[in-house]
Amino acid sequence: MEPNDLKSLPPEDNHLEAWLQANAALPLLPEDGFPQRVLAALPPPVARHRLSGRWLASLGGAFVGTIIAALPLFSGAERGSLGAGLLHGIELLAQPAVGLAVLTTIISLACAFWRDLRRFLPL
Amino acid sequence: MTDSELIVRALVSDDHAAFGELVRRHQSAVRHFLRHLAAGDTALADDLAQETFVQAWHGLARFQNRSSFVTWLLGIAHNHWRNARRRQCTVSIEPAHLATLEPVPSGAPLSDLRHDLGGALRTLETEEQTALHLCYQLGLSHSEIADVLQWPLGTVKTHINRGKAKLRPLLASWNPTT
Repeated sequence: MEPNDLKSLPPEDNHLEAWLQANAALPLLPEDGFPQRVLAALPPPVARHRLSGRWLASLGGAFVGTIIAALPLFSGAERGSLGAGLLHGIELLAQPAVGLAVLTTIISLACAFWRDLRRFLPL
Repeated sequence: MTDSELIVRALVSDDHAAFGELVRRHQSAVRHFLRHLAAGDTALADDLAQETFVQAWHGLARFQNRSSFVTWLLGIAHNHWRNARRRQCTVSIEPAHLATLEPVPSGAPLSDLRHDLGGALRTLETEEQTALHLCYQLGLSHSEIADVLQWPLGTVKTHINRGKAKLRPLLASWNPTT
């Protein structure tokens, strides 16, 4: 409790202030099942599983996409030219069409995970 | 485990048990406050307290540690109370139906004292009642009360001082030194 400057108050105010602080506090209310009632009113904790499923699908898709993209690098024709393959990939990323595709992907993911993003970001 | 740690667990892991612990810790303050606002209508107060905690769950990510968790909850509770009062014109916080205060001897038990104090509070203006309830019955600081009620700090102090001045004669039988 914020301490009042008791010295600046008249004596009767000092007494009342001290008396209220000593006697007025309310006892703790018994729970009487209230926490269980609140928990029952909360949405069921399935969001986490949905989140995990969506993350798994996204990560799985990204992994498969990466494998497909990397296959030529590890094929017989391209073996030994990993550096050249990476350079070629970076050049591809610099193209406006690829940039647009990446941007579209990011926006799509943001839409898909919008509810979860709102929970974690101050939006 | 601190409130902050429980909030993080509830937020990151969608952990109902962690939130349940927060409810257990703070249900008393929130329900007392709403019972005070609802003039003792415990059913209405508990309904509003439930809505308060459910809204807190949904808005947990917006809680910032600038105030204590209970202060934040009491602010939500106050908003719910105001909305409920707008919706239900039948809900009254006026003290018209309350019994006249009858002073109790200073040797009486603490429960009688609290009853007397509650009765004395209800003879005050609504703002004075609420400020004194939060200050002395729930133990909030003046700045916390200002946060909960969205009042300027000076307004809080004014209502508390006016309320105390009115309480002094009403509680004289409890406090022989006044």
